[in-house]
Amino acid sequence: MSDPTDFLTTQTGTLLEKESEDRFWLNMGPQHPSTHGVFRILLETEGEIVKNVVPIIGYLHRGVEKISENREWMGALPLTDRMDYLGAMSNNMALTLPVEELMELEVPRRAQWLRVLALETNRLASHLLFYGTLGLDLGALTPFFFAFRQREIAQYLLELLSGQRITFNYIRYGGVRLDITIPIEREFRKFITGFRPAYEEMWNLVEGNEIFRTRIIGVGKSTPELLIKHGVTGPILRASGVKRDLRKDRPFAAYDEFDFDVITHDKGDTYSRWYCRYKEMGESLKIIEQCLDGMPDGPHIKKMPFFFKPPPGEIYSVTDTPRGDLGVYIVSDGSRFPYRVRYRAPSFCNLSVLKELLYGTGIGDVIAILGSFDPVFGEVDR
Amino acid sequence: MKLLEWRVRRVPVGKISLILGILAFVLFATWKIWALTGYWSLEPAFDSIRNFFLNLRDKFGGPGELPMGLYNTIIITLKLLGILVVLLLIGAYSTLMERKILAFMQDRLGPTRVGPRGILQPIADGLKLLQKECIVPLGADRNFHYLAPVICFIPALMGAVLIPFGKGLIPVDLNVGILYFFALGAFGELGIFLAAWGSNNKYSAIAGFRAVAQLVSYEIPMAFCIMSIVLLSGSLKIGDIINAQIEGATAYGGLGFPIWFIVPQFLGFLIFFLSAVAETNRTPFDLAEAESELVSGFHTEYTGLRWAFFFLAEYVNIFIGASIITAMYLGGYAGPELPFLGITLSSVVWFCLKVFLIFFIIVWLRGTLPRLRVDQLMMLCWKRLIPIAMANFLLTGIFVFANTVRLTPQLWPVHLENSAYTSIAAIVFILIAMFGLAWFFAKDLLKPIKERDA
Repeated sequence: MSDPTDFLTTQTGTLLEKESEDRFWLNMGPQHPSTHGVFRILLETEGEIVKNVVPIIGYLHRGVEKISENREWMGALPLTDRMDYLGAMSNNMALTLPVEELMELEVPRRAQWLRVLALETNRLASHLLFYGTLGLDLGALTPFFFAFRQREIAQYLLELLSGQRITFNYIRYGGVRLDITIPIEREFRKFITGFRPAYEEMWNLVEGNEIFRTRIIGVGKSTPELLIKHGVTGPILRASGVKRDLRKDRPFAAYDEFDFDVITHDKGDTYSRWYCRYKEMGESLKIIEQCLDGMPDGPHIKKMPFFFKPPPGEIYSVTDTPRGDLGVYIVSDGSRFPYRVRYRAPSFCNLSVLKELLYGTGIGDVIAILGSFDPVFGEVDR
Repeated sequence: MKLLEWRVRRVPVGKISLILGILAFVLFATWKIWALTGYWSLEPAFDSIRNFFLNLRDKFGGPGELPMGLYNTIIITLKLLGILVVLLLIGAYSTLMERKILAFMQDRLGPTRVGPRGILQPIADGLKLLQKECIVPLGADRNFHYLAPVICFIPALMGAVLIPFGKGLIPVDLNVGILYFFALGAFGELGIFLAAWGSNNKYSAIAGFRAVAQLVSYEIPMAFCIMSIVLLSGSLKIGDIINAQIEGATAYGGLGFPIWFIVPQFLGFLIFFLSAVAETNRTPFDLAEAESELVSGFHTEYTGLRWAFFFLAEYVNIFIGASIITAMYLGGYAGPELPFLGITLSSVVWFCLKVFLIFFIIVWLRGTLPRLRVDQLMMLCWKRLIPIAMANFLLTGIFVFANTVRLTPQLWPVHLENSAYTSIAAIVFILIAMFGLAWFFAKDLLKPIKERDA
């Protein structure tokens, strides 16, 4: 097992040789239309029923952690955008936090509030994408378009705020890059009034749809013990009844100043995961509204030089992202470059439990369960 | 590594011969049906050819009369070509219609670029598909792979002779009409299975298994619905079924009062509609081409014109299914005469409106519903549709029997004991036997997948 590719060749090679008459190996991905990027699963199926699963990752590995070591601290920040490209704001946040802690920076209050605004808008956009793609995975086209019409506006707002649509690079060491202006705030309020009826419509499209419900209720059931054993976090863990949300438990940015609920559901199946993410969109909307109403005055960033040298030391910090807990471990040796940056990506840990849930399901359920995990492979492979 | 190589053929001869072959086959098949049903026998054809040459010889002197046989040949050929062109246009333009309706439901515009409001889009798509090369995977069974789209497409075209476009506009009113439709439905499935088997692709293979299971299951409730309609109208002919709804009676039977069969057969209508959607592989029953699970299902390995044949066959099948539903339940071309149009044209308008309504509902389903899972699909058929269809059939039988007694009381006192009780007993026996058989064969399928596995 010295060569890391050994694992793949032995696994796939020996397994594929053992095809019998009533079982065969089905290769799903990395170019399959609904593996959410470049995931590859080998399924041993008996008819439609999955008997064995070999998940294979690594097709989107770009060495983010290693590249970070060869750039200045400021240069490591845009790389985080490329990890979880659907929730890039929270990735910026995750790297900013330990560096600020190491340098003992005082971040202005307005900056913290702007961070919350950006994070929650991005969470909304990310969950909207989940809503649409789960529909696509189950074979329904309309939820996708309903969700993307709203997501488009959310992306537009983030573009107004940060100047970018996907890779924002907005949350910086010491604050945020750009301040919010009155026209942008007006656009945010327009979005909120327009989003409410669409939000109701999206609920009816799934909850009032019998086939949708039969496809997701009771599919891919998980227990809290199993999920905790595999280090699963985020909406997937909350969907099995564990009330864990770092925005409440260990508030970062200005989350302790906001009033919102942690959504949980007790079944732990695909429906619960859908339910949690859907309800979290409502909570995000609540937070965005509070942000706009009570935005404090002051500077939006504490001015920093482009090249700076944090004091030597190491820090591990965890933040909440739309997909779970994103942990960042940084080591600084006092130079302009980070000595080591290590990310604990939530999608990666969440995927580890997938294998357990797929045994004994049908091919259609495999796609539904994978869709309900909402993984981002930029983050899994880094 | 050998499987990764592709054998590529870029000769257009294949496409041309495919088109010519299909044309020839359709002409031959339809002519054969016409000949079998007594419309036209082989003799006039020979006569016409002979007469043609005789006339040629004679006509050097001056113009003569066109021989009857040749006249027939030309007329029939023109009719067939007309049906072919109309069908291809319907197949192509129902795609545009579907895209526009879906776009309307999903709050977007649909195709707008090719021609005004995108009405030339199907033609552009067709031209694009004509230009693409047909790739055959190396491990595939070339003959099956080549034959499958043809076998899929031809029954769809053959089914078109049944469509009652309007009053007196049924191309061929076969005396076995509705059974013919049923047989063609099964024939088209053969094409799907051949495509799945001949592609050397696991996704296709799974899709093929799914398609066969689905088709075999959903033909049963469909057959029960058809039998109920046949009981009500007393005939298998499409024309008679429509007449039974317009006039209330035909030469063979009927209810004695005019009524669209959707009223006495509402359950039957729902079941037949669902089964027809399942037969044409449409959402929510599109398991054979489940895009998110099986890439493209049975036509994963098809490109270009061959893929287009599957595509056209699907839409032509939808059109035929909608026409049959219209004919069986919605009174066919029945409707009040419209001003300025005359009887024939207004019947065509009514027929088209009803077919469009059915087509719209099918697209509406696609815009609303996700796909069922395989076991849920089977459960819906075996646990819900088949029992309801059987009960519907039984009730229809009792109703028709009572109605016949009412209409002809003078016939019954003698034979009542013999026929009524025995037939009811027979029906009850058949019901029990079929339920038993269905349970026996399907009990394993009816369990949820998880349970069966454990």
